[in-house]
Amino acid sequence: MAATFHILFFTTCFVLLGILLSARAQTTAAPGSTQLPTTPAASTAAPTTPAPATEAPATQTSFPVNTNVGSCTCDLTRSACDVNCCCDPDCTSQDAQSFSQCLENLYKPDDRLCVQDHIIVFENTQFVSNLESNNLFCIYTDNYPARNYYTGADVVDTEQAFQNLLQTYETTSYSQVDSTATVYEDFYKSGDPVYTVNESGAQGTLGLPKADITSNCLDSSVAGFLQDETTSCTREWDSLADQCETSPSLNANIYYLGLKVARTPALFQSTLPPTTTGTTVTVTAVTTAVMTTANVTVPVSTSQPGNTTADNSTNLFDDPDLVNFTLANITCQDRQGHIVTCGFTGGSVPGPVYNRTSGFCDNMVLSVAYTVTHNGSQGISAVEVSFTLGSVHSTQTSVQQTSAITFNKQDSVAGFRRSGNPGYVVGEPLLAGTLVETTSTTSGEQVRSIEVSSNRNSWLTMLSSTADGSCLSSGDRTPVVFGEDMRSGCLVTVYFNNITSVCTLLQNTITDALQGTNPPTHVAVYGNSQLDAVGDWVEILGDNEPLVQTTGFRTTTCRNVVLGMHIEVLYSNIGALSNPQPKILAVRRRFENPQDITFTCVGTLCQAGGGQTGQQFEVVSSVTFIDASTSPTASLAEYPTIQTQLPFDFFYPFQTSSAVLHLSFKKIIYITAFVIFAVINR
Amino acid sequence: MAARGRQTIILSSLPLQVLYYLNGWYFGFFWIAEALMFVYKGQVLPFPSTNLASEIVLLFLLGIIEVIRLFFGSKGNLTERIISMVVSILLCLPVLFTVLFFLLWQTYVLRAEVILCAILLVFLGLELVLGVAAMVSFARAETFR
Repeated sequence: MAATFHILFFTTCFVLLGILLSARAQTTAAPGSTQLPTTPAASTAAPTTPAPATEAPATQTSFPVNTNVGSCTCDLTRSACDVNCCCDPDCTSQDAQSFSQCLENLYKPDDRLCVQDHIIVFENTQFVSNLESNNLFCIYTDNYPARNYYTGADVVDTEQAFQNLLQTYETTSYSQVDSTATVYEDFYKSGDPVYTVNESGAQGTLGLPKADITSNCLDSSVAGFLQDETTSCTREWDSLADQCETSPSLNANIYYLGLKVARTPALFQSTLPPTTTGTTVTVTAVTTAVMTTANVTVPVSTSQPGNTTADNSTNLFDDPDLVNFTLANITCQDRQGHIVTCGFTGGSVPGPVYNRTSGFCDNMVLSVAYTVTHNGSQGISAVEVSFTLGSVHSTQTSVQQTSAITFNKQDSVAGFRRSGNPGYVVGEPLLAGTLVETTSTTSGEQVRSIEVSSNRNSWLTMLSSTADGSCLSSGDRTPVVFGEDMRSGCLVTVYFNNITSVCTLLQNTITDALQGTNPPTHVAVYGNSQLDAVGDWVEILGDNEPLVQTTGFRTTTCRNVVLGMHIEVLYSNIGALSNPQPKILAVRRRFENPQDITFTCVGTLCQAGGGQTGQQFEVVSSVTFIDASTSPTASLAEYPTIQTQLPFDFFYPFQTSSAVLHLSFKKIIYITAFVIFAVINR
Repeated sequence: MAARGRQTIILSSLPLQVLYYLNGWYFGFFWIAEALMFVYKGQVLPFPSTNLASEIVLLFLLGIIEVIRLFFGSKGNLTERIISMVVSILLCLPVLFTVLFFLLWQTYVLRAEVILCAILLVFLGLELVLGVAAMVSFARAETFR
């Protein structure tokens, strides 16, 4: 029994030893074998061509394996001393004394070796570097020196080998990547670009100009399918007189004329040219066809599915699967900015016209609104476009353009869009309205409910400015959206024409700009508060309008003008911590402290009389969202008190009685001395 | 001697038994230290593929063989059994090679390993000499029985 055990272990032990030793031999031999010149091609070619002397390869400088190459990398000048290069053999000892430092690249091998073998190299210099690490866990015998050295830097002479190395080690490449072939789905998915075709048959996407970093319009922005969006950006010009009629972005016609929308992207599937993969398929098909003539037609017909159906000569613009734009409604503004009836008949929109006598550019596009009617995967069925045209005077250098796109499901009733369910969603407008009391027709009771505007962007609003910073006439205002702190300001210009007489008017204008017309009185607590559930609405706290009256003072000052309004929204998260639902606790409208505005003129403007010069005052409104969530606090039980007691004879040698801590001075000295002794001898 | 009756003479070697006892304790320490050093080396040093694993396997094999060797050696010495001593002595050979491997041929030999393996080799050598001597004395006593 014992003998069999013994034989078993004996053999396994030897086998394992043999495997390990052979593995060792392999690892040490591997770098050496890579260093050998691998030219099997030359040896096979040798018998056919008898010893061509010119074919002998030039001997390549080879370095021994696993050695440190480049022990003196700073010796760059041949037969002359390099400054601060202590290992340069050209430098005399006098030279070396003038060196401030030694520049040589200090060879940093594995510092776990007990004694560094390269120290000897540096011992001849006057600068001693001792990298010895002589601790217990240094490497005493190193059977794997190859780890410190590079291997396999053989010159590559075939392109195949080059390609192999490239595939293994290449990280980035500047060569052109094979662009993934444009794939046109059978129908639009949300976020997809809406494809258009212009009169010449060129394919494009429906654009929605967005503001770039300088708030200028970025025309390359693309509208996403099913993504309702309203953007606003600035169009600038150098000279309105020249660019009014020529600039394409001010002309309404370029937004829809000569343009059609693809019903589905499937329209373009047939227009795709035969792809490159398709051609390679045909090439292989041809080569196989040479060998087997039986199946020539099969691969060719499958490789080009598009060309069989689509005629290359027809214009894509005439395709029946394209949807025309229809002109919906055009809003016109007169030169004062009031909305008037348009002076032209429907069916087409006139381009901008520059009136040289008045200096106005009429019929300029101020806003574009696309309304896309779709039918799900059936694609787009109709596209309507609406414009707001207005007049801009040539003294202005820019105009604010608004673009919007809305997607409507075909034959669907427009639903009321909530701002959250139930908690407010960040970015959604604050649901606000006014409380109304109506008499119920059935029971005759007084019913209270909230009246909310159908335009969700006019619920709770802040002032917004025009492109040149002046206050807008009420109507175009920035909606207050949940979770976004915002400050907006605009400039009112006050002219020194007996300023005191307009003080009240001025304050009314400012208040109007701050609040808008018919400011809401109630804000919904939840994003989905019902209109008839008045309890789910909180009244806006604070004053409806400035309390103090504005009065004139002397001829240049308006006293007690309120120039700012701040909305503070207190909200708190409810529900699970992982799924917080913001709930509005209170909203306060606060007017700034009244201040005196005094007309002051500067320098030459004063001397010119100053009657026509205006002074601008900034009117500010802001909204702040304050998170008043109370996070849960943990109530922990007290730590248990541990009732411990030492054994009565714990201090036995020093103390015999059971009374604890009755040490004599002498014993304390003994104990301390013992502890100190133990610590010192450690 | 036989004429004096049934008097027994203890042939077991006391130094050998002391060595086996000390060797047992030392080998436990050696094995744990070596295992910890493999952990250290595996963390700190780069290893060619499969070297570390096979070396650890070898360490486990060494543990098994050494325990068997010490068991047979000490029991054989106490019971004066030749066959046990033979097994113990023969098992010296794989133990010797394995310790030599850890001393010389493993991927990285740390200085601590040199010390540990050298002490183990001293134990091994002394036990080999004394074990052979004890076995010879057992064998000679066997012929007189």
